[in-house]
Amino acid sequence: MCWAIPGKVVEVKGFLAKVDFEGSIKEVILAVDGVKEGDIVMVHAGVAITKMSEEEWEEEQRFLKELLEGRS
Amino acid sequence: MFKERIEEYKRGGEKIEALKSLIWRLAEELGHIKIMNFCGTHEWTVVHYGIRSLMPDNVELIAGPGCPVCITPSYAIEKAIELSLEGVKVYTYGDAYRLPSLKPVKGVRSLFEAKASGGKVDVVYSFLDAVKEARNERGEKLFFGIGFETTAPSYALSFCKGIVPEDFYFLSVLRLTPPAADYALSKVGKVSGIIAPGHVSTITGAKPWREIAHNHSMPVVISGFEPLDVLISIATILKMIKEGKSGLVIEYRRAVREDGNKLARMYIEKVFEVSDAAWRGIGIIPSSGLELTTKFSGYDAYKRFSIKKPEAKEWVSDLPKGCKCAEITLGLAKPVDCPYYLKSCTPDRPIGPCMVSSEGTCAIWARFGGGGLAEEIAKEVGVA
Repeated sequence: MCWAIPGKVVEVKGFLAKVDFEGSIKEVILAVDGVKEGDIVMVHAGVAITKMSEEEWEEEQRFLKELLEGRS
Repeated sequence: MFKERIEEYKRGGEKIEALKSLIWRLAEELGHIKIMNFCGTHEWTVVHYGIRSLMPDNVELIAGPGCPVCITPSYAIEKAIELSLEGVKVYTYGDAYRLPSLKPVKGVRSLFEAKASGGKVDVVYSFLDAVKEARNERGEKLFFGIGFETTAPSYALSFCKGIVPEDFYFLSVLRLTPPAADYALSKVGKVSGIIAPGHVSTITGAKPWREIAHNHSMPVVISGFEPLDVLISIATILKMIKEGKSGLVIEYRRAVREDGNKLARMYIEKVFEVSDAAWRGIGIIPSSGLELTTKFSGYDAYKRFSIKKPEAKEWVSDLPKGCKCAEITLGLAKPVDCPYYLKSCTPDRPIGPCMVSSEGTCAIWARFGGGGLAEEIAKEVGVA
Protein backbone atom coordinates (compact mmCIF):
# COMPACT_ATOMS: atom_id res chain seq x y z
CA MET A 1 0.00 0.00 0.00
CA CYS A 2 2.77 2.45 0.72
CA TRP A 3 4.69 1.62 -2.41
CA ALA A 4 5.38 4.66 -4.57
CA ILE A 5 6.97 4.84 -7.98
CA PRO A 6 8.75 7.68 -9.74
CA GLY A 7 7.28 9.26 -12.86
CA LYS A 8 7.99 12.31 -14.98
CA VAL A 9 5.45 15.15 -15.00
CA VAL A 10 4.31 15.91 -18.56
CA GLU A 11 1.44 18.33 -17.86
CA VAL A 12 0.16 20.26 -14.84
CA LYS A 13 -3.48 21.38 -14.59
CA GLY A 14 -4.28 22.93 -11.22
CA PHE A 15 -4.09 20.21 -8.56
CA LEU A 16 -3.97 17.44 -11.19
CA ALA A 17 -1.08 16.37 -13.41
CA LYS A 18 -0.36 13.89 -16.15
CA VAL A 19 2.63 11.75 -15.23
CA ASP A 20 4.65 9.48 -17.49
CA PHE A 21 5.59 6.11 -15.97
CA GLU A 22 7.93 4.56 -18.54
CA GLY A 23 5.51 5.38 -21.36
CA SER A 24 2.25 4.85 -19.52
CA ILE A 25 0.55 8.19 -18.86
CA LYS A 26 -1.68 8.50 -15.80
CA GLU A 27 -3.60 11.41 -14.33
CA VAL A 28 -2.68 11.92 -10.66
CA ILE A 29 -3.51 14.29 -7.81
CA LEU A 30 -0.70 16.67 -6.86
CA ALA A 31 -0.12 16.86 -3.12
CA VAL A 32 3.19 18.69 -3.65
CA ASP A 33 3.84 22.39 -4.06
CA GLY A 34 5.55 23.90 -7.08
CA VAL A 35 5.53 20.88 -9.40
CA LYS A 36 6.31 21.71 -13.02
CA GLU A 37 6.68 19.89 -16.29
CA GLY A 38 9.80 17.71 -16.33
CA ASP A 39 9.92 17.17 -12.56
CA ILE A 40 10.22 13.64 -11.21
CA VAL A 41 7.60 12.89 -8.58
CA MET A 42 6.95 9.84 -6.43
CA VAL A 43 3.38 8.66 -6.96
CA HIS A 44 1.51 6.45 -4.51
CA ALA A 45 -2.02 5.20 -5.32
CA GLY A 46 -2.64 8.06 -7.73
CA VAL A 47 -1.24 10.89 -5.62
CA ALA A 48 2.13 12.59 -6.02
CA ILE A 49 3.52 12.73 -2.48
CA THR A 50 6.99 14.18 -3.02
CA LYS A 51 9.33 15.62 -5.60
CA MET A 52 12.63 13.82 -6.09
CA SER A 53 15.63 16.02 -5.60
CA GLU A 54 18.85 15.41 -7.53
CA GLU A 55 20.77 17.65 -5.16
CA GLU A 56 19.68 15.66 -2.12
CA TRP A 57 20.38 12.41 -3.92
CA GLU A 58 23.97 13.61 -4.36
CA GLU A 59 24.02 14.24 -0.62
CA GLU A 60 22.78 10.67 -0.07
CA GLN A 61 25.68 9.41 -2.19
CA ARG A 62 28.13 11.38 -0.07
CA PHE A 63 26.55 9.87 3.06
CA LEU A 64 27.09 6.35 1.66
CA LYS A 65 30.67 7.12 0.66
CA GLU A 66 31.45 8.45 4.14
CA LEU A 67 29.74 5.50 5.81
CA LEU A 68 31.86 3.05 3.80
CA GLU A 69 35.02 5.04 4.42
CA GLY A 70 34.21 5.22 8.15
CA ARG A 71 34.16 8.99 8.32
CA SER A 72 30.57 9.85 9.13
CA MET B 1 19.43 11.82 -16.49
CA PHE B 2 18.59 11.66 -12.81
CA LYS B 3 16.23 8.70 -13.22
CA GLU B 4 18.78 6.61 -15.10
CA ARG B 5 21.41 7.37 -12.48
CA ILE B 6 19.07 6.06 -9.77
CA GLU B 7 18.50 2.90 -11.85
CA GLU B 8 22.27 2.43 -12.08
CA TYR B 9 22.55 2.96 -8.33
CA LYS B 10 20.09 0.10 -7.72
CA ARG B 11 22.48 -2.33 -9.39
CA GLY B 12 25.44 -1.35 -7.20
CA GLY B 13 26.85 -4.85 -6.59
CA GLU B 14 30.23 -3.71 -5.27
CA LYS B 15 28.59 -1.33 -2.84
CA ILE B 16 26.43 -4.17 -1.55
CA GLU B 17 29.53 -6.29 -0.87
CA ALA B 18 31.19 -3.35 0.89
CA LEU B 19 28.10 -2.72 3.01
CA LYS B 20 27.82 -6.38 3.94
CA SER B 21 31.44 -6.35 5.18
CA LEU B 22 30.82 -3.13 7.07
CA ILE B 23 27.70 -4.61 8.74
CA TRP B 24 29.63 -7.73 9.78
CA ARG B 25 32.51 -5.61 11.11
CA LEU B 26 30.18 -3.31 13.06
CA ALA B 27 28.19 -6.22 14.53
CA GLU B 28 31.28 -8.13 15.68
CA GLU B 29 31.47 -6.86 19.23
CA LEU B 30 27.78 -6.22 19.70
CA GLY B 31 25.32 -8.53 21.48
CA HIS B 32 22.03 -9.60 19.95
CA ILE B 33 20.64 -6.77 17.85
CA LYS B 34 16.99 -6.62 16.89
CA ILE B 35 16.10 -4.15 14.13
CA MET B 36 12.44 -3.58 13.35
CA ASN B 37 11.10 -2.30 10.06
CA PHE B 38 7.71 -0.61 10.04
CA CYS B 39 6.80 -0.76 6.43
CA GLY B 40 5.54 -3.76 4.49
CA THR B 41 7.52 -2.53 1.51
CA HIS B 42 10.74 -2.70 3.55
CA GLU B 43 9.85 -6.27 4.53
CA TRP B 44 9.32 -6.96 0.82
CA THR B 45 12.82 -5.63 0.03
CA VAL B 46 14.34 -7.62 2.93
CA VAL B 47 12.76 -10.90 1.81
CA HIS B 48 12.82 -10.42 -1.96
CA TYR B 49 16.54 -9.58 -2.00
CA GLY B 50 17.47 -12.09 0.72
CA ILE B 51 18.84 -9.40 3.01
CA ARG B 52 18.35 -11.58 6.11
CA SER B 53 20.77 -14.09 4.63
CA LEU B 54 23.44 -11.36 4.43
CA MET B 55 23.20 -10.60 8.14
CA PRO B 56 25.54 -11.92 10.83
CA ASP B 57 23.92 -14.30 13.35
CA ASN B 58 23.51 -11.63 16.00
CA VAL B 59 21.57 -9.21 13.77
CA GLU B 60 17.88 -10.03 13.62
CA LEU B 61 15.53 -8.17 11.28
CA ILE B 62 11.88 -8.18 12.33
CA ALA B 63 8.79 -6.92 10.53
CA GLY B 64 6.45 -4.38 12.12
CA PRO B 65 2.86 -3.15 11.72
CA GLY B 66 3.29 -1.34 8.41
CA CYS B 67 0.63 -2.98 6.25
CA PRO B 68 -2.66 -1.06 6.12
CA VAL B 69 -4.57 -4.00 4.66
CA CYS B 70 -3.40 -6.33 7.46
CA ILE B 71 -4.63 -4.05 10.23
CA THR B 72 -7.98 -2.98 8.70
CA PRO B 73 -10.58 -4.11 11.27
CA SER B 74 -12.99 -6.83 10.30
CA TYR B 75 -16.13 -4.78 11.09
CA ALA B 76 -15.24 -2.38 8.25
CA ILE B 77 -14.86 -5.25 5.77
CA GLU B 78 -18.11 -6.84 6.92
CA LYS B 79 -19.97 -3.55 6.52
CA ALA B 80 -18.54 -2.95 3.03
CA ILE B 81 -19.55 -6.49 1.99
CA GLU B 82 -23.05 -5.99 3.38
CA LEU B 83 -23.53 -2.66 1.58
CA SER B 84 -22.23 -4.06 -1.72
CA LEU B 85 -24.78 -6.89 -1.49
CA GLU B 86 -27.52 -4.34 -0.80
CA GLY B 87 -26.77 -2.44 -3.99
CA VAL B 88 -24.33 0.23 -2.84
CA LYS B 89 -21.42 0.36 -5.28
CA VAL B 90 -18.20 -0.26 -3.35
CA TYR B 91 -14.82 0.85 -4.71
CA THR B 92 -11.66 -0.70 -3.26
CA TYR B 93 -7.94 -0.90 -3.95
CA GLY B 94 -6.88 -4.28 -5.28
CA ASP B 95 -4.90 -4.95 -2.11
CA ALA B 96 -8.06 -5.10 0.01
CA TYR B 97 -10.22 -6.93 -2.54
CA ARG B 98 -9.54 -10.40 -1.16
CA LEU B 99 -9.21 -9.36 2.47
CA PRO B 100 -11.19 -11.91 4.56
CA SER B 101 -13.60 -10.76 7.24
CA LEU B 102 -13.95 -12.65 10.51
CA LYS B 103 -17.69 -13.17 10.26
CA PRO B 104 -19.32 -14.11 6.98
CA VAL B 105 -22.02 -11.76 5.68
CA LYS B 106 -24.73 -13.79 3.90
CA GLY B 107 -22.11 -16.51 3.44
CA VAL B 108 -19.59 -14.05 1.98
CA ARG B 109 -16.20 -13.24 3.53
CA SER B 110 -14.53 -10.70 1.21
CA LEU B 111 -15.36 -8.05 -1.36
CA PHE B 112 -14.05 -10.48 -3.98
CA GLU B 113 -16.59 -13.11 -2.89
CA ALA B 114 -19.27 -10.41 -2.64
CA LYS B 115 -18.71 -9.54 -6.30
CA ALA B 116 -18.99 -13.23 -7.24
CA SER B 117 -22.30 -13.32 -5.33
CA GLY B 118 -23.74 -10.40 -7.26
CA GLY B 119 -22.48 -7.59 -5.02
CA LYS B 120 -21.52 -4.28 -6.60
CA VAL B 121 -17.74 -4.03 -6.23
CA ASP B 122 -15.09 -2.41 -8.39
CA VAL B 123 -11.32 -2.45 -8.00
CA VAL B 124 -9.58 0.85 -8.70
CA TYR B 125 -5.97 2.03 -8.85
CA SER B 126 -6.65 5.35 -7.13
CA PHE B 127 -9.28 7.44 -5.36
CA LEU B 128 -9.21 9.80 -8.35
CA ASP B 129 -10.17 6.92 -10.68
CA ALA B 130 -13.00 5.96 -8.30
CA VAL B 131 -14.26 9.55 -8.26
CA LYS B 132 -14.28 9.65 -12.07
CA GLU B 133 -16.15 6.32 -12.29
CA ALA B 134 -18.58 7.27 -9.52
CA ARG B 135 -19.72 10.32 -11.49
CA ASN B 136 -21.31 7.99 -14.04
CA GLU B 137 -22.68 5.51 -11.52
CA ARG B 138 -26.28 5.83 -10.38
CA GLY B 139 -27.26 5.34 -6.75
CA GLU B 140 -25.15 5.43 -3.62
CA LYS B 141 -21.44 4.68 -3.72
CA LEU B 142 -18.86 3.90 -1.06
CA PHE B 143 -15.08 4.06 -0.99
CA PHE B 144 -13.26 1.55 1.19
CA GLY B 145 -10.79 4.12 2.51
CA ILE B 146 -7.78 2.23 3.79
CA GLY B 147 -4.24 3.57 4.07
CA PHE B 148 -1.65 5.37 6.14
CA GLU B 149 -0.36 8.96 5.94
CA THR B 150 0.85 8.25 2.38
CA THR B 151 -2.67 7.61 1.07
CA ALA B 152 -4.57 10.24 3.08
CA PRO B 153 -3.59 13.24 0.87
CA SER B 154 -5.42 11.82 -2.17
CA TYR B 155 -8.68 11.73 -0.20
CA ALA B 156 -8.10 15.08 1.52
CA LEU B 157 -7.35 16.98 -1.69
CA SER B 158 -10.30 15.43 -3.53
CA PHE B 159 -12.77 16.43 -0.78
CA CYS B 160 -11.28 19.93 -0.43
CA LYS B 161 -11.31 20.58 -4.17
CA GLY B 162 -14.96 19.54 -4.38
CA ILE B 163 -14.58 16.81 -7.01
CA VAL B 164 -16.29 14.02 -5.03
CA PRO B 165 -19.97 13.39 -5.99
CA GLU B 166 -22.32 14.00 -3.07
CA ASP B 167 -23.68 10.45 -2.89
CA PHE B 168 -20.16 8.97 -2.75
CA TYR B 169 -19.54 8.02 0.89
CA PHE B 170 -16.17 7.49 2.49
CA LEU B 171 -15.54 4.66 4.95
CA SER B 172 -12.39 5.87 6.67
CA VAL B 173 -10.08 3.16 7.95
CA LEU B 174 -7.11 5.50 7.66
CA ARG B 175 -4.47 4.85 10.27
CA LEU B 176 -1.40 6.74 11.53
CA THR B 177 1.96 4.98 11.79
CA PRO B 178 3.91 6.71 14.62
CA PRO B 179 1.33 5.76 17.33
CA ALA B 180 1.46 2.15 16.09
CA ALA B 181 5.26 2.23 16.14
CA ASP B 182 5.16 3.40 19.75
CA TYR B 183 2.62 0.70 20.61
CA ALA B 184 4.62 -2.07 18.91
CA LEU B 185 7.79 -1.00 20.71
CA SER B 186 6.00 -1.20 24.05
CA LYS B 187 4.96 -4.78 23.24
CA VAL B 188 8.04 -6.26 21.60
CA GLY B 189 10.47 -5.46 24.37
CA LYS B 190 14.05 -5.03 23.40
CA VAL B 191 14.37 -3.48 19.96
CA SER B 192 17.76 -1.97 19.19
CA GLY B 193 16.81 0.23 16.26
CA ILE B 194 14.12 1.05 13.74
CA ILE B 195 13.99 1.29 9.97
CA ALA B 196 11.27 3.94 9.60
CA PRO B 197 8.88 4.08 6.63
CA GLY B 198 10.23 6.15 3.73
CA HIS B 199 7.07 7.08 1.93
CA VAL B 200 5.00 7.77 5.07
CA SER B 201 7.84 10.10 6.07
CA THR B 202 7.59 12.10 2.84
CA ILE B 203 4.33 13.34 4.42
CA THR B 204 5.08 13.31 8.17
CA GLY B 205 8.67 14.53 7.93
CA ALA B 206 11.25 13.65 10.55
CA LYS B 207 9.51 15.01 13.68
CA PRO B 208 7.37 12.03 14.82
CA TRP B 209 10.22 9.59 14.20
CA ARG B 210 12.70 11.80 16.03
CA GLU B 211 10.32 11.73 19.01
CA ILE B 212 10.24 7.94 18.90
CA ALA B 213 14.04 7.81 18.73
CA HIS B 214 14.18 10.15 21.71
CA ASN B 215 11.46 8.46 23.81
CA HIS B 216 12.91 4.98 23.31
CA SER B 217 16.59 6.08 23.23
CA MET B 218 17.39 4.23 20.04
CA PRO B 219 18.61 4.90 16.50
CA VAL B 220 15.84 5.39 13.93
CA VAL B 221 16.68 5.63 10.23
CA ILE B 222 14.14 6.75 7.62
CA SER B 223 15.01 4.48 4.73
CA GLY B 224 14.45 4.17 1.01
CA PHE B 225 13.30 0.89 -0.51
CA GLU B 226 16.15 -0.32 -2.71
CA PRO B 227 18.22 -3.14 -1.20
CA LEU B 228 21.14 -0.72 -1.01
CA ASP B 229 19.00 1.76 0.96
CA VAL B 230 18.03 -0.91 3.49
CA LEU B 231 21.64 -2.09 3.88
CA ILE B 232 22.82 1.51 4.41
CA SER B 233 20.10 1.94 7.04
CA ILE B 234 21.11 -1.26 8.85
CA ALA B 235 24.79 -0.25 8.80
CA THR B 236 23.87 3.21 10.09
CA ILE B 237 21.84 1.75 12.97
CA LEU B 238 24.70 -0.61 13.92
CA LYS B 239 27.23 2.22 13.74
CA MET B 240 25.06 4.39 15.99
CA ILE B 241 24.62 1.53 18.49
CA LYS B 242 28.37 0.96 18.53
CA GLU B 243 28.99 4.65 19.17
CA GLY B 244 26.28 4.72 21.86
CA LYS B 245 24.16 7.18 19.89
CA SER B 246 20.41 7.44 19.57
CA GLY B 247 18.47 9.80 17.31
CA LEU B 248 17.12 10.11 13.82
CA VAL B 249 18.91 9.88 10.48
CA ILE B 250 17.24 10.37 7.10
CA GLU B 251 18.83 7.94 4.67
CA TYR B 252 16.11 8.44 2.00
CA ARG B 253 17.12 12.05 1.40
CA ARG B 254 16.25 12.02 -2.30
CA ALA B 255 12.56 11.87 -1.34
CA VAL B 256 12.12 12.79 2.33
CA ARG B 257 12.47 16.37 3.60
CA GLU B 258 13.02 17.25 7.27
CA ASP B 259 9.63 19.05 7.38
CA GLY B 260 7.85 16.42 5.28
CA ASN B 261 5.04 17.60 3.03
CA LYS B 262 3.39 20.60 4.70
CA LEU B 263 0.87 21.10 1.90
CA ALA B 264 -0.39 17.51 2.15
CA ARG B 265 -0.59 17.76 5.95
CA MET B 266 -2.57 21.01 5.69
CA TYR B 267 -5.19 19.31 3.51
CA ILE B 268 -5.30 16.23 5.77
CA GLU B 269 -5.91 18.48 8.80
CA LYS B 270 -8.71 20.34 6.97
CA VAL B 271 -10.60 17.16 6.13
CA PHE B 272 -9.76 14.70 8.91
CA GLU B 273 -9.43 14.68 12.66
CA VAL B 274 -7.41 12.27 14.76
CA SER B 275 -9.31 9.65 16.77
CA ASP B 276 -8.68 6.44 18.69
CA ALA B 277 -8.88 3.57 16.22
CA ALA B 278 -9.04 -0.22 16.00
CA TRP B 279 -6.15 -2.21 14.51
CA ARG B 280 -7.12 -5.71 13.47
CA GLY B 281 -6.25 -8.30 16.06
CA ILE B 282 -4.35 -5.71 18.09
CA GLY B 283 -7.04 -3.50 19.62
CA ILE B 284 -7.70 0.20 19.98
CA ILE B 285 -4.57 2.34 19.70
CA PRO B 286 -5.10 5.89 21.03
CA SER B 287 -4.92 8.75 18.49
CA SER B 288 -4.07 6.39 15.64
CA GLY B 289 -6.94 6.94 13.19
CA LEU B 290 -8.35 9.64 10.95
CA GLU B 291 -12.06 10.38 10.59
CA LEU B 292 -13.88 13.02 8.55
CA THR B 293 -14.46 16.34 10.32
CA THR B 294 -17.97 17.77 10.78
CA LYS B 295 -17.48 19.99 7.73
CA PHE B 296 -17.20 16.89 5.53
CA SER B 297 -19.61 14.69 7.50
CA GLY B 298 -21.98 14.63 4.50
CA TYR B 299 -19.52 12.13 2.98
CA ASP B 300 -19.11 10.09 6.16
CA ALA B 301 -20.18 6.47 5.63
CA TYR B 302 -20.26 5.90 9.41
CA LYS B 303 -23.03 8.50 9.70
CA ARG B 304 -24.91 7.65 6.49
CA PHE B 305 -25.05 3.90 7.18
CA SER B 306 -25.06 4.08 11.01
CA ILE B 307 -21.83 2.09 11.35
CA LYS B 308 -20.68 1.73 14.93
CA LYS B 309 -16.98 1.64 15.70
CA PRO B 310 -15.90 -0.68 18.53
CA GLU B 311 -14.84 1.04 21.74
CA ALA B 312 -11.81 -0.02 23.77
CA LYS B 313 -13.85 -1.62 26.57
CA GLU B 314 -15.91 -3.79 24.21
CA TRP B 315 -13.17 -4.66 21.74
CA VAL B 316 -12.56 -8.37 21.07
CA SER B 317 -10.02 -9.85 18.68
CA ASP B 318 -11.27 -9.91 15.11
CA LEU B 319 -8.84 -12.53 13.84
CA PRO B 320 -9.77 -16.15 13.16
CA LYS B 321 -9.00 -18.38 16.15
CA GLY B 322 -5.37 -19.50 16.12
CA CYS B 323 -4.28 -16.97 13.45
CA LYS B 324 -1.05 -15.26 14.46
CA CYS B 325 -1.39 -12.11 12.34
CA ALA B 326 -1.47 -9.78 15.36
CA GLU B 327 1.75 -11.21 16.81
CA ILE B 328 3.38 -11.18 13.37
CA THR B 329 2.26 -7.58 12.80
CA LEU B 330 3.74 -6.52 16.13
CA GLY B 331 7.04 -8.30 15.43
CA LEU B 332 6.43 -10.87 18.20
CA ALA B 333 6.21 -13.88 15.89
CA LYS B 334 7.29 -14.98 12.43
CA PRO B 335 4.96 -16.43 9.80
CA VAL B 336 6.55 -19.86 10.35
CA ASP B 337 5.33 -19.71 13.98
CA CYS B 338 1.69 -19.79 12.82
CA PRO B 339 0.01 -23.23 12.63
CA TYR B 340 -1.91 -22.18 9.49
CA TYR B 341 1.03 -20.69 7.54
CA LEU B 342 1.34 -22.44 4.17
CA LYS B 343 -0.83 -25.27 5.46
CA SER B 344 -4.43 -24.10 5.43
CA CYS B 345 -3.52 -20.41 4.94
CA THR B 346 -2.00 -19.71 1.52
CA PRO B 347 -1.95 -16.74 -0.87
CA ASP B 348 -4.68 -18.47 -2.90
CA ARG B 349 -6.87 -19.19 0.12
CA PRO B 350 -5.88 -16.72 2.84
CA ILE B 351 -7.25 -17.17 6.36
CA GLY B 352 -5.58 -14.20 8.01
CA PRO B 353 -5.13 -10.68 6.62
CA CYS B 354 -1.30 -10.88 6.57
CA MET B 355 -1.55 -13.47 3.79
CA VAL B 356 -3.51 -11.13 1.49
CA SER B 357 -1.74 -7.87 0.76
CA SER B 358 1.48 -7.73 -1.22
CA GLU B 359 2.82 -5.98 1.88
CA GLY B 360 1.57 -8.58 4.37
CA THR B 361 4.47 -10.37 6.05
CA CYS B 362 2.95 -13.85 5.51
CA ALA B 363 2.18 -13.14 1.84
CA ILE B 364 5.75 -11.88 1.28
CA TRP B 365 7.31 -14.90 3.03
CA ALA B 366 4.99 -17.30 1.19
CA ARG B 367 5.95 -15.79 -2.15
CA PHE B 368 9.68 -15.42 -1.70
CA GLY B 369 10.58 -18.17 0.74
CA GLY B 370 10.85 -16.29 4.04
CA GLY B 371 13.86 -14.75 5.64
CA GLY B 372 17.04 -16.73 5.36
CA LEU B 373 15.17 -19.95 4.61
CA ALA B 374 17.41 -20.88 1.69
CA GLU B 375 20.42 -20.40 3.93
CA GLU B 376 18.89 -22.57 6.68
CA ILE B 377 18.21 -25.35 4.18
CA ALA B 378 21.71 -25.00 2.75
CA LYS B 379 23.17 -25.35 6.27
CA GLU B 380 21.02 -28.40 6.96
CA VAL B 381 22.17 -30.19 3.84
CA GLY B 382 25.76 -29.14 4.45
CA VAL B 383 26.40 -26.94 1.42
CA ALA B 384 26.71 -23.64 3.30
